[in-house]
Amino acid sequence: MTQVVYERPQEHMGMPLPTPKVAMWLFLVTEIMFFTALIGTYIVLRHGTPAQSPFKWPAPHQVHLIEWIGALNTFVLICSSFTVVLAHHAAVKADMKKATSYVAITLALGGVFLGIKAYEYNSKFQHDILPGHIGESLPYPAKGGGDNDLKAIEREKHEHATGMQYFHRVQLQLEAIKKSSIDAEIQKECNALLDAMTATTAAEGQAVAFHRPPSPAEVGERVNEILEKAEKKGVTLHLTPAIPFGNLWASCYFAMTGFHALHVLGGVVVFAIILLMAVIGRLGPQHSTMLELVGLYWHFVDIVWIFLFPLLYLV
Amino acid sequence: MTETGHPTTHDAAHDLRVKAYFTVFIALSIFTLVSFIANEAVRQGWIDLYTSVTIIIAVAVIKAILVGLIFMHLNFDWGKVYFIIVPIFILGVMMMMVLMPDTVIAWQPSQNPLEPPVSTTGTR
Amino acid sequence: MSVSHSHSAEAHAHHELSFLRKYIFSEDHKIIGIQFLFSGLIFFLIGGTLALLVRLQVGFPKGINLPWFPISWGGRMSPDFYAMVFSMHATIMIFFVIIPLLTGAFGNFTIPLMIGARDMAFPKLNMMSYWFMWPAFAVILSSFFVEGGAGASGWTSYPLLASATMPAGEGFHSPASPHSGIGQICWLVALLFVGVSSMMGSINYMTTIINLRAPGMTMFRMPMTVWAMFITAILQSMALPVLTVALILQLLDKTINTTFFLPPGGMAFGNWHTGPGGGQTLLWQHLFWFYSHPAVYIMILPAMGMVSDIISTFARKHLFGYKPMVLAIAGIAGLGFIVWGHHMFQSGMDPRLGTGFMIATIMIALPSAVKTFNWLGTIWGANIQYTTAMLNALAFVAMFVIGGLSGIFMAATPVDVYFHDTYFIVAHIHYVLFMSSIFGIFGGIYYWFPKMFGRLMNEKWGKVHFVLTFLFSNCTFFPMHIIGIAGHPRRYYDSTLYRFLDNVQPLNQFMTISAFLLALAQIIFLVNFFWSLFRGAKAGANPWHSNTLEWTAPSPPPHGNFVQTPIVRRGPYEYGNPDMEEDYLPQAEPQPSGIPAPAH
Repeated sequence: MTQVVYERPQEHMGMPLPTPKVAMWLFLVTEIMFFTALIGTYIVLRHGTPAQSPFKWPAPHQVHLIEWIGALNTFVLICSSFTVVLAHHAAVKADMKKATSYVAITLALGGVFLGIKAYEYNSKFQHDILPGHIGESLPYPAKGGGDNDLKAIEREKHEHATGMQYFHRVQLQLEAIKKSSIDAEIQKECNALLDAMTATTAAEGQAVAFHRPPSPAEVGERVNEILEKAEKKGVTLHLTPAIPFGNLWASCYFAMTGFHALHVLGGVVVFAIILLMAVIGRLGPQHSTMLELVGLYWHFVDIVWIFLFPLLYLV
Repeated sequence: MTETGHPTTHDAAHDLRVKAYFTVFIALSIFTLVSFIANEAVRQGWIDLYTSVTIIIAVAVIKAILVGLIFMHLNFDWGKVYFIIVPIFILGVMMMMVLMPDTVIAWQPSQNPLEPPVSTTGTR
Repeated sequence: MSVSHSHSAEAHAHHELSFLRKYIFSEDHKIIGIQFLFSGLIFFLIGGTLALLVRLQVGFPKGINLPWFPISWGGRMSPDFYAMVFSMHATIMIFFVIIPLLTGAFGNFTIPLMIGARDMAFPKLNMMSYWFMWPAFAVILSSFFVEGGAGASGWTSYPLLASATMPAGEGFHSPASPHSGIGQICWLVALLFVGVSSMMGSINYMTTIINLRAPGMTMFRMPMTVWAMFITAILQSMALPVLTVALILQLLDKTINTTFFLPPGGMAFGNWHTGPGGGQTLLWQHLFWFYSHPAVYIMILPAMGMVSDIISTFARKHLFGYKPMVLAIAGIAGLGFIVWGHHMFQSGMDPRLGTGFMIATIMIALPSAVKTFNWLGTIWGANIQYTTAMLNALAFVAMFVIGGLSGIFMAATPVDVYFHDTYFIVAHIHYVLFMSSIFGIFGGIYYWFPKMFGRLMNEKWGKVHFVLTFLFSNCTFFPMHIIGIAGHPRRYYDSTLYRFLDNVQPLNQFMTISAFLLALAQIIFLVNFFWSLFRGAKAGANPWHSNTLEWTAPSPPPHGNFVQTPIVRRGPYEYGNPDMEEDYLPQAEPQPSGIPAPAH
């Protein structure tokens, strides 16, 4: 029997792609799933809210979201995507000086993005648009059947504690505003609200007329009015507004932009390391694939923001 | 990295790539402006909500495709990696669609969230 | 003709690594696999102890006072403590035993060896994926000792019990339950670490299998173990990010007062009150089960792959229907992504979704049945060698049939309405997890022990261990079907409080006694394992006369695995060719004269 001749087996099995690139795409796919879950949660939660006033999803101006700042951030990331792909391009052409400078520009733009984000977060802190703080589900006094409407009374009792959390928070804030010096008209309104909310104490032997403190919902309404007036006058008050679904909005906002910012920070750290390598002279054309892969990650971060920006700021 | 259907000289091919990157960059910037303008337009009442939402989402998708195709070199690599990327999109869209009935349809658009929700499909 | 690369021996002969770098912070996939094996076995003991505590409470809720038993225990666990015990039992078994053993230990050890690679694609990443487990170990174990105790909301950790927001500024106490305070936060953090470790590992496995196969090792010449690990890695990478999101959202709910899972209007717990809410509680269940259903397939598919290899080796027959087996694994995995709602039939989710989930769940029986029949086809008419590994593998097949059949009952929504949260579910879980996955793990240990450590485990004591485990596990878990049908709910700390369960309480006691005997039987395995590590009979390279590539390397393989890169000529199941002297033909063996070359 003659020896059977068999084919020379294929030498490189697998994808015609460098192994690290395969790994990077697999990693990006897991990140796509991560952000899909996060953004998908936001989309379904948002569409689960009633669409009619007054229980609509908060509009951007209600929560101090400024669209042009978001657009600016989008532009910053687009620029940085452009510069990172130019950095890779330069590395392929073995022009390491150019590559290094493009990496430095990308790093700087990433820093700018984070800086603008920090500015936006600071504005949220100033206006106290934070999860768990915003006045919501504030009950009115039991309406309907009056003292015999047990269901309404039960519900008010049940929701009263939530409302009182907001009540106390606003009370503390108004006391702080009382001690500060701001526009006189606004100050007057704040003090009036504070007096209404504070329990009256009787002096010795004095009779005092009882005044019912405003319910948490009424406090919410008056706070919103004060804030509107202050906004028109350009005064910033550290006073928590009452916004339906405001807490859910703040939760989604901080979760989504926070995790995106963390990913940007990760990219910035990697760029800093690459810059360090370049500075000590260890960055060469052999690192062009590495630059491409870091660029892939950075482009992904950009794409996430491309979707985050309209979903949060615009629609 | 060879490219098919492009000039044979190395430098010319590279310049073409840089030109492509720059074109995409300009396009992305313009598209961002478009979506921002669409948003302003709906606030000023020039166009209605559905038009603006369509424009904005379409712009986002186009921007993502441009970044993916040109910046992430998918115009070269798509044939090699599509089987990694496509399933995840199918899975993501499917997940969101399956979440919809419970989180979206369950709520009544006109309801006070403090009231217990009323069934859409009559009595259950 | 030879395209062997013999640089592995030379390249790594340059420096001798320190003990720390060789055995502790090793980048060698074999050492990392063995590290996962040891941690997994240690946590198996911890999880098993918790299981015994569960059985103690369920079987003897008011204490033990049996006339023939020398010790009497008059205590009764508090409901909170019992909740903590079963929750941590499940958490530890799932996330710290089965998944690390199947994917971490066996995945790491077998994949490069079976595809002819020197190591994984990213050895440093591999090492990190093991060491990322250690913070998880530390956090989950310390959660038992924190204020309030470890998480007690079930391994499913549903809001609001698990996620009720901390009253602002009052420390990490939860208004819902003391265990939902720091203990629950520890639970969430530990699982986040496990998730990151698994994701790192899965990317490594997928890249290695895609790109690092030896010449001639086409995808359809890979052993079933590798196919199973590959598809499991795909499952892990696509499903884990959603769990990560869910865990993070719950963690945010518990720490910074976000409202993802708190309904609008807030909830009152005694004097405390959660915040205003605004989110949706059911959302957690969707996000959690989106991962946790693929997770159960992650816990069974590697075992299925290993069992296919073990069965064909000891039946001395080719695997029946190799391609259908691969497609069946892919089918189980693919369908596994669209069935998560069958855990939620009773949750109040939209019934129209329930219909879709029910249909998809019933369909998963099809690929599972294909695999079962193909295993039967493999051993049909075979000259079976009843080694311990083979016994465990055959037990896997049999027990998986039972576990799978009970799954069909639960897949039908109307039936699940009755069975949900009864012991019928617990029976199903343990038939597929303990009696399928764990038998698969035991089979894998007995099978690959010689390759890992260069010695053979004792066959006689292995068979004793198998028989006792098989007997006692059936005694422990089969009656659960019966009491489940009788309506015995799960997670109840004292079923004797309910008159309608009086008749089944003797079965509970029987199961508890069987469980303790089952635990005692595992001592045989542990003694065998550790004794054989040092005094077992020395094993050659291929004690089982198997075809796959790892058996061509020395036992244990050196760093770099193969002296020469193997060239693969054929599939892994060429057993019993009547024209040959030997009844096996290894994958990398040159084609013998007179035997026609394989078609693919």
